[in-house]
Amino acid sequence: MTTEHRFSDEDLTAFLDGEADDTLTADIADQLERDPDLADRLAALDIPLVPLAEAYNALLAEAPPMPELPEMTRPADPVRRTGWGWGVGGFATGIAAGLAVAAFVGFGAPPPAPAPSWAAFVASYQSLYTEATLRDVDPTPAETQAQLAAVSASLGLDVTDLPNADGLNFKRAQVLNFRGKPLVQIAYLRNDGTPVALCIIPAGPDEKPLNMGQAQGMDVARWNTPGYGFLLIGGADPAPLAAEADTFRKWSVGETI
Amino acid sequence: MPAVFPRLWRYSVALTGRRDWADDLAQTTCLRALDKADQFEAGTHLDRWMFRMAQRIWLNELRSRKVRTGGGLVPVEEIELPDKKTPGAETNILARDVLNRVNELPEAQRHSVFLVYVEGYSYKEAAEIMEIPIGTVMSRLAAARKRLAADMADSQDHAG
Repeated sequence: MTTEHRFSDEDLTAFLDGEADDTLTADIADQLERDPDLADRLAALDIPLVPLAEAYNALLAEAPPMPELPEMTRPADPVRRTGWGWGVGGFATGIAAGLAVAAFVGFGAPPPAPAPSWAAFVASYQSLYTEATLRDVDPTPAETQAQLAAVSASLGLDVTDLPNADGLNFKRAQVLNFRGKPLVQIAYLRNDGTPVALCIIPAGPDEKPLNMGQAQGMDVARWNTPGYGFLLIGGADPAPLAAEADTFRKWSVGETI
Repeated sequence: MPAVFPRLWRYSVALTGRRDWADDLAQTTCLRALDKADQFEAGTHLDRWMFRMAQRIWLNELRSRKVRTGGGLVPVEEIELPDKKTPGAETNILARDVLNRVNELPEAQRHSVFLVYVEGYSYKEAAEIMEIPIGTVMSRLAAARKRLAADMADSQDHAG
């Protein structure tokens, strides 16, 4: 004599999904051998999972590129308080909080774990960039100079003669503005497609040597000149980043490159 | 984040049932993620964190739009798949059919189906993303399976 058990649809679904515990799985498998009704009920819950996954996988290829942030839509346009509501406001607040922490910790300090939130935040920003974000951005030399002149004016530091670091292709220069402090972001694409950004903000009078670290899985190089903090970020290979950072650092302290 | 973005967008399609709304939701979620970046615990799963965020944003959006959920009252579109000329053309027809049927499910069921059957999350993980009990995930999946299986059996009968 056997005891027929009435399994719920949830039980049967869990069984089909491999989520039933051992006892339930054994009970269902056992009863299935002698209960055709149970087989029918299972069949009534059977759906084509593979085509479903395939359909959604096809959709994956249709995803649009990672959108640019609202602030990124106008290169070298300082102080964009747009009507993007909480998104931009919240973002600006986050950066401001990050800057406050950075001021306390000291920009350019040896990278502790976890990373200071300023670097972490710039890293989050940078992690939005993909090769596709910048691939089709191709400014003319005149546009490049105009953007660099605009960010120089905001920053109070002339970056129009910024050198070309080997392997980096200039894509865009823009100013983000937080509590009246300009944060310049100069975006590059490395020859291999890695997005790299040079960020510059006004900072204290102390010089800090070049310091390599990591944030958000990307390599970061930081240093300070009197009055300015520099951060170069991008990729997961410290060797090219260090060489690029050295080029920019030498320029920033007026050394011959 | 770029690595997660296509999946985030796809989840947004599953949440909203529409591509144009998915564009907005995915972008809004990225902005929110940046805003909350300091709350993300390193070593945890970025995808689940962002999916949960997208889910919350979407539910808030629905509330603010006063759109009632679950009763098919949210307009959904037929989701067109890229028209690939592949040998598996028949599979593609079936895939398109399944996709549109899933899209016609009540929202709550559609979300669960997506997270478990497409993304491959466990019941527990899906429950955490949707912030609902595991039992609710199970009942939604059971209901979705029942309806989809019945729909597809019907259409086969008509076709045959």
